Amino acid sequence: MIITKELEKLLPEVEKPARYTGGELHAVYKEKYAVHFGFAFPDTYEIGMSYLGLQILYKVLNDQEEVYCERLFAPSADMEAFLREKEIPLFTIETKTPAKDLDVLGFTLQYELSYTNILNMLDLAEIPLFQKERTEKDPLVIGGGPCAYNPEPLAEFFDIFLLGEGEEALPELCRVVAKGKEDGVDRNTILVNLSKIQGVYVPSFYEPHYNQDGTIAAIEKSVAEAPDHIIKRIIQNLDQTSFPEKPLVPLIEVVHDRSIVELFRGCSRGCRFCQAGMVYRPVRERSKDCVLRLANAQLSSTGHDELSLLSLSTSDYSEIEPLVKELMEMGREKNVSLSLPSLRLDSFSFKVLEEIQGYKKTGLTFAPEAGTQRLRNVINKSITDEDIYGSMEQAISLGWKSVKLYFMVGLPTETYQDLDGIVAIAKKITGLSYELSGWKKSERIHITVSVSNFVPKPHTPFQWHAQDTPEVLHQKHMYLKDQLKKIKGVYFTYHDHSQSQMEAVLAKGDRRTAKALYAAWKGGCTFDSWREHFHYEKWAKAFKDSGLDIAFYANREAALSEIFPWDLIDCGVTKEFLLSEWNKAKTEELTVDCRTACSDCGLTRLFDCAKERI
Amino acid sequence: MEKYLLKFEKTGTIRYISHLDLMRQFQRAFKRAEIALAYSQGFNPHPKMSFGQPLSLGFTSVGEYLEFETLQNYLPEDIIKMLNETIPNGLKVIDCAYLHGTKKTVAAMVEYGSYEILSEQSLGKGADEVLTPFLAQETILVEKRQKKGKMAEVDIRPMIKALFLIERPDGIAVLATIAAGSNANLNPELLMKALFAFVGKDFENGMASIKRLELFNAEEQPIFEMTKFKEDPEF
Repeated sequence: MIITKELEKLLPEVEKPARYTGGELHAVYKEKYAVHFGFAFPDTYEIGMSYLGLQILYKVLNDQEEVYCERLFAPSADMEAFLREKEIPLFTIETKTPAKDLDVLGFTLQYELSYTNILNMLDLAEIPLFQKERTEKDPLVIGGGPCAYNPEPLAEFFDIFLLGEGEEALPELCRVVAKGKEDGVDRNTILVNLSKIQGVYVPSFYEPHYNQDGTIAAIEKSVAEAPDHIIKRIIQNLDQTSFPEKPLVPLIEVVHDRSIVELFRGCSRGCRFCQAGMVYRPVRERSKDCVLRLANAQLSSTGHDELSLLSLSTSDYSEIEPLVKELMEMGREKNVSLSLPSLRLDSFSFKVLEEIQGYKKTGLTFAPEAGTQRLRNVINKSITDEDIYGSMEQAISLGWKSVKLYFMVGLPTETYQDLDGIVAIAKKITGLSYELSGWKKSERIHITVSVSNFVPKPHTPFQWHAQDTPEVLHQKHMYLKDQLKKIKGVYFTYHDHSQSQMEAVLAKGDRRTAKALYAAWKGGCTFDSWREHFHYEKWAKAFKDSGLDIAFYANREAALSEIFPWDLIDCGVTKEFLLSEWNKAKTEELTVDCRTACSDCGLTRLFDCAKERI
Repeated sequence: MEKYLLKFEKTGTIRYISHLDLMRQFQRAFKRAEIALAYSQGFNPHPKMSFGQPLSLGFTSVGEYLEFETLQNYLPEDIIKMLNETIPNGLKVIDCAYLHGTKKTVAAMVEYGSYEILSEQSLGKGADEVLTPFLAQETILVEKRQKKGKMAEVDIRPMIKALFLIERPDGIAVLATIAAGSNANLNPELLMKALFAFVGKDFENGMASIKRLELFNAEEQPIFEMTKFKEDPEF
């Protein structure tokens, strides 16, 4: 644990100083290495430390003898003010090395509304924000994660993006950087060499040209060696991939502080709104034995009292029943509670939940996503009314007293009939609850209807869709609020409409949106994903001052022939497949689960897909 | 079931974690060390362990106490070894013994704490010149923030048991034995404020490093002494 005298004076003055001290159990301290890597999470310590990807890559990188990976987080406002006042450049939390002295500074791109924090962190680090202004002494600034599937709004600020999974690609990247340092070659040569690694996208090697109407005419490559398309990276075999057995254990309370094992990657369901379901294909499962071994190792090394499983759809794991049985046994022995997110509410799940939660029923969550069968067909969400009411009946008779229902508004083809469908579901569940409890008021179930706004995402069948304007979203919220108010025991929450619009703009933006992003940060925007820190008027001004139209990016339906800013990136699923899904959506036609039959998404051009053969 | 008293240090950067976080660190350390703690009964079972006296965030200490109950019998020296192998840097178990012959909790027994306060601020006067008249005051009134945020005046004179001042080239060192516990509690920072106010100066928080040295019972014995009477539970 290293701490400077200067910092020692600051720490007692800031909130939760242990955010900045390091020294957690299993933190890595190294003296000899060739490449100094900073893993930067553009949000607070408590959020970043809850992210499994950090734990995975921290281990993967530090397992490399020649690499030392440290962590950085976005400082809170109080710490930021001190850093600026005392002119202390942003530092890593392990050794307090200034970020500007690192070889590679890697940001994880988890959500669009964290982008201003990235600019702020670069600024605090005294690293030139724009890629073209960086010199030989500056670190390579790289980015990866889900938002890297359209990194164009960030393109001017980053040297490199890494597409797909990083377990193999990041060490490869570090080796090229180490070799480059050893040979004393210049920055540009290193970038050229890096561009030859599959999954690496060097944005400055490509230049978009625009049509008169603002859409993209062509994306031109300016460096011959760079690939024409950037193909994402994946790990084919999860069992043979390194996974944290001794994760960092925070010294202070963070959002999620528990042992966590990833069950599988990818999802076979093909929901048309879901970016993760498209870009993380194919489905690859970790074997049950491997999951058990990792769970055991993590619990022993951390002393956690909670274990969670991670995947896009827990119930879809092939061996879910035997696995859960064995994990519950392990939990009993070790006094550890099990938490199972994204369960489908079938009879097995109820049995498990009953056992896990017992008399402390904490509430169920359920995501029909849309209010009518018609709209659920549009989005390819394979839940029927019978599924919903069947599960709720079980839940109520087993004694659950509260349920949270997740819906989206603003989905393609949505009408007010679909909103009425949401109200009808809430009403029917309340009715069921009355009926099953013998009309006793005290036994009534509490329903939370939680509505988020649909944000069209790149590489999904809905990438052509025009998002509802904030005004329309707001009207829909108000309509639902009015209707749901009439049902006793129903509580309604909804997501900020203007925040969702900005999310869409940054998700689908092109290289020119960098200007507005920069202006928004200059105008004082940071921590935009925190509702209390989000200032729509500042963003609106930033776009206006940059001569950019918000609606062009968020609220305009794209022509089927349109070239998207992210067309350079090959996530495995082809644009032809997405287009056919978009057409099927409009005619309310379903596409089957990959486990049932292959729908030719294009993935097998590049990768093995085991589920295709089942 | 077996009861133990643990004495430990909290030094280095881990001093920046709160009392609640420290509790969590120990719970996890026991789990990692596979020392089976006894749990309370009821709807929300929690491990039977509690601290002698909370330590303010930012203070270091070489005299902290933790009492706990286990399901099995472990040798105290094994507990020391097992915990020290797994607790985070900055925490260190320095002693452990069976805790018998007392019904009172350790927290209820703590009355005083001794502190070493190193301040980079100087009083501007000789130590002797300040100390005697400072302690000769009948009352020492200071402003203290109450739980509800209101300021109230309290007399801290009865809470000062012993006080020494040592002049240093870069400030002063203060050794103080003051009230610490559930009956009365004096924050050493408040004492420093009073001391500096006495010479007409403002004490700046953060300009001093504060280390707790020991906790004492009403008879002014170090808390760990209470384990010395009956070494072995069975005989």
